[in-house]
Amino acid sequence: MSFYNGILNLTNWSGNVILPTLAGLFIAIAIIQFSKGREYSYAMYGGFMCLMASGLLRAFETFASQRAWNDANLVWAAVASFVDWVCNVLLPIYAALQVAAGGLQLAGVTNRFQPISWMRHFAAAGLCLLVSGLLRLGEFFVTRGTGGVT
Amino acid sequence: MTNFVVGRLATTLAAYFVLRAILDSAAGEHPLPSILTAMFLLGIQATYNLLQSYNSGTQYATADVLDSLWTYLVGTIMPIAAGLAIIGAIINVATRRPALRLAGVALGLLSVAAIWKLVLAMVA
Repeated sequence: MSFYNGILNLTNWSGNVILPTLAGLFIAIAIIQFSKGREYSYAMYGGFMCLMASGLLRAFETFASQRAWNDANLVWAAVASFVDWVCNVLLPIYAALQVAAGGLQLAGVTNRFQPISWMRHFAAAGLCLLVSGLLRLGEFFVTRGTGGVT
Repeated sequence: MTNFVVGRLATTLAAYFVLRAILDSAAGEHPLPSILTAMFLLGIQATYNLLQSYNSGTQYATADVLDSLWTYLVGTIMPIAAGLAIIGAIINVATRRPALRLAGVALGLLSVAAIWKLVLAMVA
């Protein structure tokens, strides 16, 4: 018996046995919340993430191995990779989902379930795809602002 | 005496901490610290052997053991703890609690050595 084996098996058991089982519970909670008109997205996304624990860990390992292990810039590179992944991988996919949701809302398919304007979905999709541009715009304003008011 | 402490007392204490983990959960606290303590107590003989293997027997033996222990923690245990942090973050997302902090902890646990180098670079 060793502590290493204990914590390794605990992690494996939690990530590969318990979380996939809990995924079903979270999806069930999401359905029940949806039926009552309550916020259900946390349970729904949580259920999906339970099935992706290994993949998420591998993603974080990739973020944390962008430089050599003893490179002081590794922390910055890891955070930058994480931000890059969220902004350039997840948000475009979310934008596609928002376009689909906006289309369904506009067609009157889902507007009986949620009273959100289709405009909000399309605006969210546009903002998801514009996040880099908005950041650059903010940087531009700040850079111009350092010169002071003339 | 060592056999009694390692073979009997530590095992009984580990069983107590397993029970305490359940009671902690019932009280609304986190069971993980008690579970990890139980695992550490059960693996105390292996930990003792590990520390002995790090002992160089020289005048710098204490520093050698501490150095090796640091390397073992950073290179072996912390990446596994990062997995636990990811699992905690997922459960927090599903139960609508703050999850970004645990995602940051996972990144930090995967780059402890680099954080140490960063601190060294800042101090220099």
